[in-house]
Amino acid sequence: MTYELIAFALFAVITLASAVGVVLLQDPWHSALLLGLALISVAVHYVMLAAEFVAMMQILVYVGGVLILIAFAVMLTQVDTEEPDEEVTRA
Amino acid sequence: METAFELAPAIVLLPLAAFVVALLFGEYMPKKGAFAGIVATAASFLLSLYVLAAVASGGEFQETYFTWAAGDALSETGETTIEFTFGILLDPLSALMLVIVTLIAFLVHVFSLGYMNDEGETGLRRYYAELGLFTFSMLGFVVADNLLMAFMFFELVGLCSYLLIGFWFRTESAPSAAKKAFLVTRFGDYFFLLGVVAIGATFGTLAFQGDGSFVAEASSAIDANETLFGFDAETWVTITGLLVLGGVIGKSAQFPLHTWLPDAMEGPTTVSALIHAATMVAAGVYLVARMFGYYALSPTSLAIIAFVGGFTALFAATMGVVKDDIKQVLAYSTISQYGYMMLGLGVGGYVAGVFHLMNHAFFKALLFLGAGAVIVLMHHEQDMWKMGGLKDKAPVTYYTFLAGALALAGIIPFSGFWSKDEILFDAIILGLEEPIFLAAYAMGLLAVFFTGFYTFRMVFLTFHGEPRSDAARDPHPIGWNIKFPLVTLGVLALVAGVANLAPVGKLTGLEITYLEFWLDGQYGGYADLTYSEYGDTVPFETTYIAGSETITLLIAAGLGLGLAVGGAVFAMVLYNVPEPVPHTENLGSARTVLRSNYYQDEYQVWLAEKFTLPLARTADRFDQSVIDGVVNGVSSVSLFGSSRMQRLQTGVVTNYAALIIAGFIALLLVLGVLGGWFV
Amino acid sequence: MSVGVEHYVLLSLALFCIGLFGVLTRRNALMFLMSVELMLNAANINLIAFAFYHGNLTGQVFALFTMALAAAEVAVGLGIILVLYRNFRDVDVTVPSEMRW
Repeated sequence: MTYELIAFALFAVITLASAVGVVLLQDPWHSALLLGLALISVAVHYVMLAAEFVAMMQILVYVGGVLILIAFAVMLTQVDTEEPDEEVTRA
Repeated sequence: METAFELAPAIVLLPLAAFVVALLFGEYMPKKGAFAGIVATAASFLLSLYVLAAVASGGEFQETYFTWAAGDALSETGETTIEFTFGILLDPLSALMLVIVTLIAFLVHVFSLGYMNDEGETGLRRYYAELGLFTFSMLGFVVADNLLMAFMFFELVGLCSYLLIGFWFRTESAPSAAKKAFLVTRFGDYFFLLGVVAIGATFGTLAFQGDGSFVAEASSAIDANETLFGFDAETWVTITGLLVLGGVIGKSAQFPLHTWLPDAMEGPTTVSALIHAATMVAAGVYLVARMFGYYALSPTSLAIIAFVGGFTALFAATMGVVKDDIKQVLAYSTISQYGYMMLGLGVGGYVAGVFHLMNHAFFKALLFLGAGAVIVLMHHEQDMWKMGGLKDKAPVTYYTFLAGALALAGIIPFSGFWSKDEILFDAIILGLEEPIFLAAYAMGLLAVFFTGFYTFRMVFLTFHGEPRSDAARDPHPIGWNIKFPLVTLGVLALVAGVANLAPVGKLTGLEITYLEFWLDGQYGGYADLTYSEYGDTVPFETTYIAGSETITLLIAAGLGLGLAVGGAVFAMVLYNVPEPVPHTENLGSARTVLRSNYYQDEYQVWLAEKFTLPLARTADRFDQSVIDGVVNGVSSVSLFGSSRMQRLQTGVVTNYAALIIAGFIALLLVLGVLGGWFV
Repeated sequence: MSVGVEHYVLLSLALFCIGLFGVLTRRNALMFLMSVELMLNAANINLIAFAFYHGNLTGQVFALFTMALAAAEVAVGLGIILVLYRNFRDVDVTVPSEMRW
């Protein structure tokens, strides 16, 4: 039982810490990466709750779909703000 | 006989057809549509004679042609349904009136050829169209078999009089006179409408005739001592009767709503003849005669009718004494004569009132058409002081006008004498029993003197003496179309009295009171609309001087005739001289009062300006401030509120999210408090 | 001491509050999207935890639906953010405030 508790506490800390990181970090790219971490640790919680199928879906849908979409958006919206900077530096 | 009654609607509709024809095609027709009107009214007249003959041979007719609304009602007397219909009621009274109206209308149409066409008036198409509509309205009113239909045609009559009085609408005075006539009569009609509604709501029927008529219902309600709308039945009958009387007073130009009639002289003289003799003004008195059974139930309303009539007769006659305009004199004589009719009806003299209505129609149409002829002769000059000496230059006009004047003054044997005498006789025999009516009688009697005076003042100033202007020295010629109506009416003014020679009949014992038999339904007619039926209902007793009918009759006739002759002789002394001078200055301050018509217009204007106007202003202010204030207040509160609320809407998503969260937390707290989580 | 349902509820609560904090404080639309994902996950944890402790699968089914919903939502959100970016050259949610009244 104690192992369970330790495992829960460990992953709870990881989940919360990465979630806090998601909302506090300034760079959206870092936030997106931390969001991936948080989603994976939530999947671990699902495994501990005997919901393996849901955990698998969590990985597939969230990490494989949602997170990719978010990364896509981050990169698309980031390009323009950085490009002028690069152009400025090149000039 | 049946054919006559089946053709009866045509009497009414022919003038309407003439109206349509004149309105649409008048411009292209010879004489601008006059012939359409002449043909229509002539045909109506012949049909009316046919109907008269049918009624005389023992017929009566009542038919509903069209029910335009029917429904449930909750009347005081227990009727559960009410119907609003158009129908025709032909009995001795309406048949007689049909003949009078169509005859006068026909003669006026013919006269118009001379008065309007030959004088080169413009707008004749409009004139003849309106004349046709006017005749149609009056005929519809005459044959109406229920009160609401009567009211509708009553209003149509008022509209047509408005149109015709304002015929010369480019002048300054005619439109204002038309408006005045319209508004004053409308004021009376307002009460009439209230009366119609009250009677309909009380008895659940508006029919004039039959067992289900409102008269019969009222009679049985009084007999059963019923309570109607919180009053006992007789009081309620009096109230509703007086409401209807409001319309009568307006239309028949009785005091205090008579002020429109003298102004109505602004219309063409032919129109004045039609208005005064047969249509508009006659409508009021005819309505009283039509529903006389209803008034007979209420002695109070009869007394009020008698007093209004008696007072108006005297009041108007005194004003007629000082007028210089020939049409003005006739206007006041009309008011006065309708006062006599009201007096006659008010004292229970149904036959006398109707008799005078008939005679008056003839001689007043004659006098107005005669005045029209004089105006044509005088190149459209109406001031009597510029006339004079027309006697030799226009004998036809003179003698017919004289016949009318003698009838108006009530000189034996002209028609006016017989009817006026009968009215006064009815008044005195009632007054001897109930002295209060003696006052009404006295006013009527005194008015006889004034009538005789102003009538002959007019005749002498117009026709006698030396010509006082170039126009009078060289009168404009008049044609057959003016002479023909004058002669016809002149003969009628002389002989119409034969219809009811009551005094002769009583003195000699001969059965010659034909009109009384006629109205009593002895030749034909409905039993509930007869003179004897009304006589049984009228609660008045009568008595005779020295207990003898003959003596009373002779005294009454002698007094009336004596005063009329006295007035005429007085006028002859003063004005039948080659160079008459105005004697009215001798009246001193009374002259000022009389010439100002007793300040009737002034006080009514004062009433309107000092009383009605402030009242209306107050109501307006109340409306503007309180009523509108509430409405505006509601809208400004919501405007203000929304201007505050819109600040919540920033367009920033974060704020919305925060609001949603705050709302959610508040909801949680409320649910928590209500659910007792924090206890 | 074993892991009770209350632990999971507390975890879920904390995660949800963090997501909420992100929604309310960040101005970047992308951060909105990510914070919403966190909140949805918090709800999912709740559902799965109760499904485990009640011993049935209802909660798990619900969670699956939520995931599908979240995926769809992100796809739509991405579209909106790209349009926003194209029109305003920025993804700051306070800039476009014309869509009121």
